[in-house]
Amino acid sequence: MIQIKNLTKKFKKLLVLDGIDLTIEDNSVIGIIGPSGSGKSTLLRCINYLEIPDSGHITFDTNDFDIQKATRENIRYMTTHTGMVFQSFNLFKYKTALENITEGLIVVQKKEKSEAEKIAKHYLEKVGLIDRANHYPNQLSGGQQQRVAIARALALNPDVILFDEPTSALDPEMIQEVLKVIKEVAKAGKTMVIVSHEMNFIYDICDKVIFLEDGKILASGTPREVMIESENERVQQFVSKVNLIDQYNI
Amino acid sequence: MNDILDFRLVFTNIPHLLKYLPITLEIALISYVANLIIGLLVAIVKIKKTRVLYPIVSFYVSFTRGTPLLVQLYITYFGIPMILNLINYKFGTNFSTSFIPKIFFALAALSLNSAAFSSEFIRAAIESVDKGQLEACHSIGMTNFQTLRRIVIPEALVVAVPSLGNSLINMIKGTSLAFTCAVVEITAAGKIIASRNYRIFESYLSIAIIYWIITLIISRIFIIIEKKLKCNEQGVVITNDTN
Repeated sequence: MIQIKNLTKKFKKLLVLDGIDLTIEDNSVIGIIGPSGSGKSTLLRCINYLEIPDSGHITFDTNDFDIQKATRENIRYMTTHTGMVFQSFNLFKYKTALENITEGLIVVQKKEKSEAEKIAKHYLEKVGLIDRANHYPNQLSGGQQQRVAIARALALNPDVILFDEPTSALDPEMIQEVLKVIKEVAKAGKTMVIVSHEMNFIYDICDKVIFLEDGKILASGTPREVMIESENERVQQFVSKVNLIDQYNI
Repeated sequence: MNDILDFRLVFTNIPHLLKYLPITLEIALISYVANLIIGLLVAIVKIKKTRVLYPIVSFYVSFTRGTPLLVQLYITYFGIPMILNLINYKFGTNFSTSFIPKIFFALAALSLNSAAFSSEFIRAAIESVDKGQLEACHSIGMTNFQTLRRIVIPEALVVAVPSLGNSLINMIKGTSLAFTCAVVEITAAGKIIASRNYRIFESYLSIAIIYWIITLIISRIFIIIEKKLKCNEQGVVITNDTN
């Protein structure tokens, strides 16, 4: 479980995250929605320390620390216990799909090459790309690249996987294949935080949704509470632009 | 006709000159490796903007790029012994200047000269690595050093290879100035032959042919290296179906 209290982050003078409180329960799926520039991605990036937050308190299982007094070990714990899936995939250019997955297993987790390859193949199978194991990223479609990236994050078996707009760079057909994979991961009980503009998808798979604007949480609760029943005017206005389909099938 | 140009001599000269090829290659390769190491260090200082070192390396790069190699060779050749003499005079030490091998001056000047240029393309190559690649490394828990060694340097290398080839070719040709430090390599050997038989043009033509062939071989090698490094543009059969 991750408990974040009063997290703030400034970019120079601009306050991007303004006292965020967020609890990520084990085996839950949390969706973060909100307009562009509201701080959604920054929040995710602060969780795995791609951005260094300015202040607040984080409790991640045994790793309990005040952000302003964070030690190297505190930060290392955050990066090694979380996984990230990026909008632009960020697969290693000169490594095959398989090598992309084994890289972290061998270099970071110090596993034997044969064992790492076994794990990598298992996850490639899961995302349906075992026949693309020896392809380089530029030989894969966007959807396939993102599925490899998801396999790369899963293979390291982090406690939480963070998805930063995983389908924003894909065309509609590819979006479906990627969402299907994410949904399977969610069903398997993986703890996940997803930033996405795919409202129907968020509504369908998340246990909890938070609505972020100007670095503040305006609403939080079950998807129904936030996306349909919210009393907050701004949230209503944002959600009213989407047609929520009650049964969303992918 | 025969008196004006002795065409046979151009080729019969070559075996004599080739005896000095090892010296040329030795100077070139040692300076080249030193140049890469210094160039990488200077590039890192320039990227990190290290406080005290940054102005020093900026001055070094600016001075070296702004003065001719020949002048730099003379500066090292006469400068280093002079500094040693000055130290001897001031501190009463007894460093001998005559025991420094002549080749050392050539190596110092060539590597320092080349490193100033290399640092720029090395810096550009390192900075060309996509930020997303670094973020991916961070997200899977790699340390900064692991990121540099496993991802940044291999990717930067692909960008830098053509420039690396160029700099080796320039280095090979730069060695022809080593005679100023009293080192006998191919060019100096050619000069000696010419001064014996007065066939100056033929001698230089032989020298030119040798350099040309060396650089042809080097450029071929670098094309092969580049292909090898761009592993993602070959190998697997590309299929178009998207599963």
